[in-house]
Amino acid sequence: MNEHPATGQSASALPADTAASREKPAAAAEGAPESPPRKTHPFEFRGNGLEYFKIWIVNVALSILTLGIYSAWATVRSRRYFYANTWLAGEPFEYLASPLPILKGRAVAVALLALYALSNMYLMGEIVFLIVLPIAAPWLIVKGLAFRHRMSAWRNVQFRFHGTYLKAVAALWPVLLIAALSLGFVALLVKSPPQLALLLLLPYVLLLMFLAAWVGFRFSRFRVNYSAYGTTRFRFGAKLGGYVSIFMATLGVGFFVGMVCGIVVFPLILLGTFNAELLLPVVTSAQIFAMLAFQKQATTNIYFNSAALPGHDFRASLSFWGLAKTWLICLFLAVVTLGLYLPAARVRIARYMADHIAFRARDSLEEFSAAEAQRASALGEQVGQAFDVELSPF
Amino acid sequence: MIDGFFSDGRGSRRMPSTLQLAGGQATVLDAAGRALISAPLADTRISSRLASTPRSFRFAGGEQFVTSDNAAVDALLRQPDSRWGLLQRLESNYLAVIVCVAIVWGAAFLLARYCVPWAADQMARQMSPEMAARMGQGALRLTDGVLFRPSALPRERQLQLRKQLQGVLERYGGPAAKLHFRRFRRGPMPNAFALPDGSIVLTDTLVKLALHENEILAVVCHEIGHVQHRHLLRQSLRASAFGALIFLATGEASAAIVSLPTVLVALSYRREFEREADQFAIKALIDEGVSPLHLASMLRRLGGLAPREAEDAAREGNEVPGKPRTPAASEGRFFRDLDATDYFSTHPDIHERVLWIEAAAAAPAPELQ
Repeated sequence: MNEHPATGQSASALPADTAASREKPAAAAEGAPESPPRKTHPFEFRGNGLEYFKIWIVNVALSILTLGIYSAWATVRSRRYFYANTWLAGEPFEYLASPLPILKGRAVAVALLALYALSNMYLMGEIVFLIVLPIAAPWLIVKGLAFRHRMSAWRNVQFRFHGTYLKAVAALWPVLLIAALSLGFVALLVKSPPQLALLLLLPYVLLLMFLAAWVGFRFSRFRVNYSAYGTTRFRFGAKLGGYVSIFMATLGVGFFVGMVCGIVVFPLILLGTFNAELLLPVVTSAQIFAMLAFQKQATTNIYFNSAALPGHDFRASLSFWGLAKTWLICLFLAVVTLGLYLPAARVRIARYMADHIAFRARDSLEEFSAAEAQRASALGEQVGQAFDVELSPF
Repeated sequence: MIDGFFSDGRGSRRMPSTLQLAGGQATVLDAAGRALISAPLADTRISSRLASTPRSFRFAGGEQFVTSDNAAVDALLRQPDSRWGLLQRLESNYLAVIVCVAIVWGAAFLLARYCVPWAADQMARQMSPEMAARMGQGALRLTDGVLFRPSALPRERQLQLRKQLQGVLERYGGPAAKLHFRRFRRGPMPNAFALPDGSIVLTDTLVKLALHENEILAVVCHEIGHVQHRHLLRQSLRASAFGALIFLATGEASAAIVSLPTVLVALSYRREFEREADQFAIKALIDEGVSPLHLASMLRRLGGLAPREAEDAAREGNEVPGKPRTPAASEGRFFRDLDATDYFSTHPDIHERVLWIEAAAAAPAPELQ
């Protein structure tokens, strides 16, 4: 499912049948206690799978023919397509980046990766991995978000990101704890007898899930709290507990799916119809799929439901079944078409996300002011965006 | 005249307006017909056409005019910007799209078949033997917990085999080569494999299946071939290099899956490696004064194929007493092929290999070089 996050991001930027929605008083539906009624503006995604497929296949073919140079143009065209087809309150989003800065950043990124590969070859790999990466990652994230936000606009007002390197380090340091714990656990696993390793597994997984929830919470808070639409800052209201319960429930979903599959599968194994090596990967895939779908919908919901602008907020109502069904259809069609369905899958997922996220406005949407113009993007941002893992929500 | 919305760039306010072009000057008028801005068209940035998404005219001061009327913009500009216009035409032409699909699949195939193996093998060559060995460290210990039990072969038998095979291991396997006996937790399955650190594992079932000591020797030579050619290392380097290249070339991780057909190509890497290991084994066996046919006969038994004489006879139309291939054996094959720990899945195309080895054994030695 790793191919999907991109759509999640673009979806977050998207829009809907605005004329109708403007007239519908949303507060009634929500029973919100605020006195001025809020208008609900659903996001709407207007792209179409075939249209994007054609853009995408030309992108990939030209990228190959130009040995990757065209990929910067491809990225811009692809992002422009998703942004421009995402509508909110009758207005499309806009992606403003031009290809050359992206190409420059990507060239530097490729050079860095080559350097890393080389160092890897001469036994320096671990040092780079353990020291340089933790130092560089927060910087790349901050710069990448700054670039992405500045290049995103709605109603001719750009987004901004005000996070700094130190704030990113503060948000992300628990990741290092996870990494250290994981390394330690693997070392322990290798040295201990299998029975003890199994015994250690459960507390280890629980601890890991808790830490992952902590990181997810801190990072979401960091991202939202330092984001701004023009001069208006976002606020993030979620609590750590919300994230912890999502991650624990995800674990529960995994156990549940495993149990159900086990009940179905064990008789088959005992009867000798299939052998265990054949069926166990199927069960594991089902577990991972269910856990990913559950976690994606739950974290998307809490993310948007906790983010707010003064006087405005979001409502996200993704469901496990809805998302799982969308993913399964995409997966099936992608396999059947030998991958040609993938671009259309991105569109389908973007549409699902947009259909289940809405913006609730209390005041007029005309009153946001644009941020001061900033100097042209620094190389740092260009490099940062090259490592951009499509994690931006706007 | 184009209908759209105008914003001044200072905030989110928009107003319905129209854009007019006269004498190279673009002018935006509000509903009442007053001019909101007027500037030379050459100084405005007009977004290129992208499917049917809205177009924007961006003025130097940050003002913007947006319209969904793509046809009107194209007509207004008369000649669409040549570079971006070409893209738009490509993206809306079905023949071009089909050509692009062919390019993508073709490139993925070439990349998988030739470029990736070459690059990955270069990398493997750069890697020091110590580093390669470290990659395999602990692999056996980890699999011991999950896959294997200690061997149930009698101690004397193990010692005897170690003694018999010691010479070959030393001469061809280098200092790191080491023999291990194991049996699968799941049941009796004949298999043999090599780990990057030089460990060679034989299962009890394989040892018992051999009708001649030289058959075990032949299998060990084949596995030493995998170690000497660093096949495990090269396979993993190839797999990761392929993904990385696709990502770098396209900037899209999802494109890696467009090349799903190339997974089949990746399987052919393994066929190539088996051939290399067989070649190594044949040469080593001849040097040792052992007939390479021992490798072929062992493979026949592992693969559930009929012995060579039976096959030859069947080809000539004579039934021979013995063990012709039974229908039951071939029926069971589908599931066995998918079994991750079965000999078939780790050693594909067994019949083809057997025939090749038998031909090579009959041929004069130079062909093996």
